Amino acid sequence: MITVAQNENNAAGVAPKAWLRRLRNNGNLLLGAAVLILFLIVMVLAHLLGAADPQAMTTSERLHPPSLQHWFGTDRLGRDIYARVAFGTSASLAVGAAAAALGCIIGTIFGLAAGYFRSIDMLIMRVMDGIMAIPGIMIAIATISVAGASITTVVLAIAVHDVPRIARLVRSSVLSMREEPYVEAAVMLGSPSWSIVLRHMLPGILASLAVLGTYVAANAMLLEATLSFLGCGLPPDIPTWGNIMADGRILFRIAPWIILFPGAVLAFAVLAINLLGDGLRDQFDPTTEKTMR
Amino acid sequence: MLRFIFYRLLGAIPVVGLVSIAVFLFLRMAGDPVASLLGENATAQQVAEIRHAMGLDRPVMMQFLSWILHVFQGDFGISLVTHEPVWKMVSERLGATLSLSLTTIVFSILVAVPLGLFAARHRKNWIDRLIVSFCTAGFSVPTFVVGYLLVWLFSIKLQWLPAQGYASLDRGVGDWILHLIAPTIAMSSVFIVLIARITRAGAIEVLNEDYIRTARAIGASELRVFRLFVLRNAAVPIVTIIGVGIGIVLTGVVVTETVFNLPGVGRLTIESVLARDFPVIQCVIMLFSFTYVFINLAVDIIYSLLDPRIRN
Amino acid sequence: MTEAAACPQKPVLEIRDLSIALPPGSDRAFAVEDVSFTIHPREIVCVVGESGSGKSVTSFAIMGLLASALKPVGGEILFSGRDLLKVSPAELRELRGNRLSMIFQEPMTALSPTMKVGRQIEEVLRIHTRMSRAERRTRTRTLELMRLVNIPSPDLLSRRYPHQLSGGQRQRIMIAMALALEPALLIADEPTTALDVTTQAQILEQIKQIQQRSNTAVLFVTHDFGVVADIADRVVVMQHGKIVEQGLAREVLQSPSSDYTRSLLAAIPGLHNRQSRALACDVPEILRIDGLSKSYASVGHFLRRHAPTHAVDNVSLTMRRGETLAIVGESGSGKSTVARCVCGLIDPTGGMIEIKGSNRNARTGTLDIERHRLVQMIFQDPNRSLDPRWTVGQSMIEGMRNLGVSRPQAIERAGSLMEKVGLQKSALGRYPHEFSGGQRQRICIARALSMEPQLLIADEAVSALDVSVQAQVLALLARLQHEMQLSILFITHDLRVAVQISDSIAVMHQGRVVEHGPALEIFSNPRHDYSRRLFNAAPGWNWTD
Repeated sequence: MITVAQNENNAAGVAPKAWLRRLRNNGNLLLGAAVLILFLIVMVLAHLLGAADPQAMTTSERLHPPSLQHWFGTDRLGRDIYARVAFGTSASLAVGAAAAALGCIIGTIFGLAAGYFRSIDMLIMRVMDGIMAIPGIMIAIATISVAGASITTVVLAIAVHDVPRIARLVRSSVLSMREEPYVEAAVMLGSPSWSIVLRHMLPGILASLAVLGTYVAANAMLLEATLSFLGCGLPPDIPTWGNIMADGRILFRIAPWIILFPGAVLAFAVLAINLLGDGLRDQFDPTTEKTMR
Repeated sequence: MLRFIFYRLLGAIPVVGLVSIAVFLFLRMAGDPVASLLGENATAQQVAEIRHAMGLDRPVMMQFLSWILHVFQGDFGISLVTHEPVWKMVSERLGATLSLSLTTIVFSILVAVPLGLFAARHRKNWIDRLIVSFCTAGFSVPTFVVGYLLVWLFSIKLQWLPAQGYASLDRGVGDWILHLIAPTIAMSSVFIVLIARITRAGAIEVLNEDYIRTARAIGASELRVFRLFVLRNAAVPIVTIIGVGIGIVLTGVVVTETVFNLPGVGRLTIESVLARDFPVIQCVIMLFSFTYVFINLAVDIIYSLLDPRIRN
Repeated sequence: MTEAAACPQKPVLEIRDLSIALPPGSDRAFAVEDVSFTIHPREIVCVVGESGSGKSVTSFAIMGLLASALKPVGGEILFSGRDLLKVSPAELRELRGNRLSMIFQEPMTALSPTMKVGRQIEEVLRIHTRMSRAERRTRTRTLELMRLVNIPSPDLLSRRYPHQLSGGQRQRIMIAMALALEPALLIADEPTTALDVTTQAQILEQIKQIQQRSNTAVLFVTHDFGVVADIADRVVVMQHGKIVEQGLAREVLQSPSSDYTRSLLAAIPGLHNRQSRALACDVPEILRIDGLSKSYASVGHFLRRHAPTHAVDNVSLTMRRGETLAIVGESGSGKSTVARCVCGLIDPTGGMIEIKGSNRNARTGTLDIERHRLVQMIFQDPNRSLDPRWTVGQSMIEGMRNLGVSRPQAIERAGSLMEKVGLQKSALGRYPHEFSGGQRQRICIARALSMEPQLLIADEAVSALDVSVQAQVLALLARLQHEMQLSILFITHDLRVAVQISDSIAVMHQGRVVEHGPALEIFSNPRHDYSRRLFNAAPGWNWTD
């Protein structure tokens, strides 16, 4: 008994060591995480310190190009774009994270169900095909045009679009895992279905789910920005990055910074999340170790 | 082979049906079309008459059937805003959208496939890393930002390209191309990255296959290995992703047409959404979804030609 | 000097002090170290060794097909006077497929799936010769080559894709490609390992025939001493990247000079049946299979129904308590399907399976649990039969917990089971990837025993293991059987293994049992035609006796 407990600790000490070593060499993951943390700091600082009021209009400073005083310039109402972008961080990140989380949860439930219970597989996957067939932006536009623009509808609309992708991934993993001898062994040992799905299969999917989840979050942020930019997204009074850029559409020839600077910030944030996803994939994927040998 | 095509067509029917039902329900949820059609001052009798004329007093199932019958005859109803037939409005806009989509697809494939193969060929050295980084970056920049960047650089700063707008083919091929260059590049940015990534991954996977070793063992040159063995065997995932990526192209259409002021279906969508012109939105969703389904059907058929194992 | 005198001809291939480095951080510094041997025209040299011995690396080095991580760091490979390690890539390409050719282990994956097989043979000709337009059209040489390797109706089959051919046919296509330009040296890297025994025998015969007809020298890489006994002129035995012994095949097999070779030869299951325990007739039956059938409806559709395929067709078998029954047969014979039906992993379409045993220890009442208690299975692939994310301890107690055993008790019992199968208690805290294949198979055995089964099913349980490990696991099974009065249903394609462990044997062919009876009787005097063919095809069948 005691020896077992001790050795469990030892095992817990051995595996994380390799994990940490891989983490140290994982440039994508570290860089992505660092940039994201930077964004979070900026976000918190913006709310705490209120460096500049995002809604403060200074009529004398309308459409100023970027300068030391206004890093990203000002818009047609004289509002400081940097301040607006800093404040917008929370809304943009939140929408991305929420949509990804929601999509992953719903998609996983559907995928597990379709993969394990063959009787409903056909039905679920045809519905997923149907959703896949409608371009994501169309689903979002349609939902928002019917249900009105609010954070809830935008998150829902974006999440719906991602459900089929996740469900497919989960389903195919479940299908291939059903054939694995260790799952058959669990059947032979008398483990009930729920235990096999939750204890053997779900942990096996979590890694790829985390990776896909980050990509979905990145995509969700892009989609949210695009929707807001087109005027079909969150209400214009919420300063998300997309809404800030939407303000600059008609003024682009005179004041390109209204779009280009927030656009660059958005691209950086999405890039960071994508890098995080690549990094997670490298971290989880044992083949990277195989190729090192 | 014919049987395969037949069954693929059969398989597309439930998807088309599901999409149709969803789109129909969408219109029902969007509110009473009569109210928006007649405005607020209509009398109850007027409303009832129109409802009867439009068949809205019949059971939902019957309404759906009559609606779908009309749809298949090209009758999508009447715009709530312009009071023109919806299909007429949409078809007038098809030219620009088709031009832009086709140039994008052709351009993307021509750039992305060689790029992906090149990266796979130079796996693990700096060329590969450069292309992979480019791809990750390309995924992260939204299409409209790329579009505006191109407008700013080529139209405003350098003044090489016309800023915005569209010239239809009958005004000359040169003008047509000139107006499509920037939108095509903007829209291709994501598509290229997508195809290049899959091409690279597919080629790397194929390169690890035993038959590549066989090809080398019989003395085939690298070029021959890539041309006859890698490309042909990696073709299935590449063609598949091109099909799936059509969704991205269709999304790109909406954004790009707005940025470049092209009079296409995508901009019509946005205009209709802002005006809450539901019959038009409905028609566009149907059009886009069916395009997606049928292109993917074509993709399935193409890859059954590419890979003999799928045919059986 | 003596060697030169013995072999007046110049060698085709001469390897001198070849060393190939492994990337830093590997478990040893060299994949291959100071390897030297020669091959003369018309000679078949077998390089034999267990996995990781460096035998395949050596053959790949000759072809210049080494993975980029492996670098030759010393020595030379002389092929008709030229050092293959120094020639330019273009010159090497010119030699490959032309003077030097190779066939590989996996016939399933060695041919491009999207190219017709005739075209793939033609590819060799196109690369190295100028083909005339007429020749391309008539494909005379391609068809001639296909006839040479005994492919029936070459004209028809040349237009097929690889997935439409059987494994043996694909390997023949590979041989046709390799021989297309009559190479001076043919390298065969485990070319028959993935094939069934009867196919293996045909392919070996094919290689021998062609080699005798032409001047081709053959370098044959294998792990199987039976194959060595069948075809080798000379043998090179490798271990850990070094040559431990080489010499004439007959001499090495009969009087090996190194300990390693001796131990390898000793580990091969001999053709002597074990104790041949006389099972008393009054021992109760443990398993009765009666008229078992399993058929699969082919993928059809409502317009056209295909006839269902019978994986198992009317199989009846009985087993007594404490008996070992081996079911032997080639792939597709239905032997695994029988095992999976007995386990309850798949449902039979017809017939009856009766498992008899006491249920005195049963605590939970469901019928399924009852069956799992009585029957446990050991799977073929030790790499995949333990959940990679679970510690060995977690896997070990899973079944006992399902039976309602308390956690501390289960851990306690898991510990003693580990010791029983020759592992330490501390193994419970570690993860499966920290163990070797043989150790993992021991863990799987311990896990199966945790359910206190009456009947243990071993589905190709030692097939993925090296011979020496195989011998240890078989010995363990025999000991456990003795100690615990286990009945073992042993599914295998390996006749040597079957001979060694079984009390009785059932030969399966195309879903049916063609012969069933006491092992000794069947092996010494097979009555059925197919059994005779199967036994004769087994490599080196007539050698150890």
